[in-house]
Amino acid sequence: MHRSSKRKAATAMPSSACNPGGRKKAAVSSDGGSLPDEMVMEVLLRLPVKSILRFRAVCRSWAALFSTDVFRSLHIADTASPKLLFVSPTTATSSTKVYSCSPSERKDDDALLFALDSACGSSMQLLTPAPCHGLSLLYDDTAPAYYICNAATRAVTRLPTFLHRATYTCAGFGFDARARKYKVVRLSKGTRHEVESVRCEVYTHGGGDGDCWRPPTGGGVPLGLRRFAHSAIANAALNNLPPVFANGSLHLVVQPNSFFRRPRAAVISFSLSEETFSFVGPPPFWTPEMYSSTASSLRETGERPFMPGTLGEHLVQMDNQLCMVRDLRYNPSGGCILEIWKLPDSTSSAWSLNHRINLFGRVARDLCRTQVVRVMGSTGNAGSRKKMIIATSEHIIFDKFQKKVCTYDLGSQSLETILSVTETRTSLQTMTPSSRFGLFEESLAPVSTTPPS
Amino acid sequence: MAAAPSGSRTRMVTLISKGGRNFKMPEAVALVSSRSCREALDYIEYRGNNTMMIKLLDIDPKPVSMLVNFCNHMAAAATSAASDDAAQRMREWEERFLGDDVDQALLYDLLSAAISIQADGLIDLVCKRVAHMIKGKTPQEIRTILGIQDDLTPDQRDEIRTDNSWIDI
Repeated sequence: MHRSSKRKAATAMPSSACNPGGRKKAAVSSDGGSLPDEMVMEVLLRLPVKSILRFRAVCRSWAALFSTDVFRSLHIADTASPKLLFVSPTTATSSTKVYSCSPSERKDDDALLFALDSACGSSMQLLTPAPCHGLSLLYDDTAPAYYICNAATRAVTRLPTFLHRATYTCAGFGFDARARKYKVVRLSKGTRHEVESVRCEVYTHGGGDGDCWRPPTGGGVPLGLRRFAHSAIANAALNNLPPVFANGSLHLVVQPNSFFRRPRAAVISFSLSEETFSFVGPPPFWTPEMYSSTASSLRETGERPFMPGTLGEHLVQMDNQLCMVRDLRYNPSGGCILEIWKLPDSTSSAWSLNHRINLFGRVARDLCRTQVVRVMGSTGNAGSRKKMIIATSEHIIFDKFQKKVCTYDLGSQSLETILSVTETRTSLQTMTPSSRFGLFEESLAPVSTTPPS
Repeated sequence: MAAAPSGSRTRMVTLISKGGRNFKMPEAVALVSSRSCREALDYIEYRGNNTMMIKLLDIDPKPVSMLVNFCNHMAAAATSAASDDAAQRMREWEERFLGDDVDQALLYDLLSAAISIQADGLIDLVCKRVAHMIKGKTPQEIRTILGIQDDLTPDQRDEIRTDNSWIDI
């Protein structure tokens, strides 16, 4: 890992011996040598997580400092280059391995983060494709159980069992900025015969609420939004689209095909601090004309894809805003287009076209051939070249799927594959395989807040 | 804050280093870069055309001149349009600014100068650089560098090691 060498030690920090230029101060003294004390803190806050964990062994006061909430929250995560978290699709039923790699640096050193025993790799999904303040949420279909992990500190914990089971469920993860707590929100769509057709349960990570799932404090889904919530939850469950966390709320997109008219609500939102539901109106390209046409004319215009399991739109969080990706790869004019529509202000429903990814040639053909394309997020906001990170999934044959993560460089308009994995699905309930990739930012966010029982 | 005079002269802020050397920057630049200047100018009701002088008499001329250079550059970059290329150029400039000829002593003097006038941009840059330099070191090296006593018991050290067994401690 790190090797100290004599040369390094000699040039490390100034002492009167190697700085004949004439500093009056004596060699390294106990007040920090030439580095002002208040600046030691500023330097520590900018260290990568691995270094901080190592420096706990420097002295007692540093070990204590690094465990304080103040330090953890002030620690500046490098948001410009998130890393990639990846759950390995082993079919072994005894353990799952989780790896990380860096999309912006193209190194092939996938680091094995941890292995979850008694969890099956092929049924494990990553529910946080975008970075969420340093933590990620995993879900094991077969157990069933949720896990929260911090990919930087490699800590992982299993959540207590949830209450409601149903055919269609989805779960999202986000950070409540007001209470300064992470929350997992699970939505389940019950049958029509049940009194409460949409159930919502919330788990607050970090105690304070008891270590259990509970109903949301702001009440359940309002009556007027029930049918939209049904569509959104079914959409999320069938197409493996976990709720997206943006601007303090979790968002789900409805399936426009489930309505006969242009739906009033396109996105159902759940605010993590208020724990209430609201909605966002439809984007301009969900035109009323789409609904008045018959199925055959829809095929002619090519507006809506006519293949089961593919989806017209999915949500993604980019630049701290909610965005909708419009999948136009089945465009009859031959191009391979993905449109990104942004919603700058969640109170109005003013969606505006932000980017248009227009791919040509072989790259376009490859992308068009894959079944599922999901934009996960973007890197390089503040400095390096901006790239979008895209996950794709292609059905090869029988039960084999090819899953890839690519980066799309906005400047050069080129698509580059970073990671490619072949997966064998044990159950073919849905054609859309679950997500194994997620982005994360380095953070010291604690995972186990209650002592293990 | 007093309004700028309508004459053609721009108001300046002067930093005075050790040895009496003067380094000037326009007031507008100082306001953007330095919290101390902003606060000081908030208090002053009227000072005519007088230049504000800041004494940094125990800091060498070279770090002070680099500080002024940094502030001027950052203020100019802030006014131009943000773009991917501009951000890239800024990073390259920062690399050259804290290039190979900047040794440890100069780095710390630069930090002292930046702290004196609370130039947050430069403080951030230098701290990031120092963090980058020490991030790979062992705990013993850190103790040597900063002169910290090792007060951990063997049990405590073992506990830290097992908590994070994937790191060499």
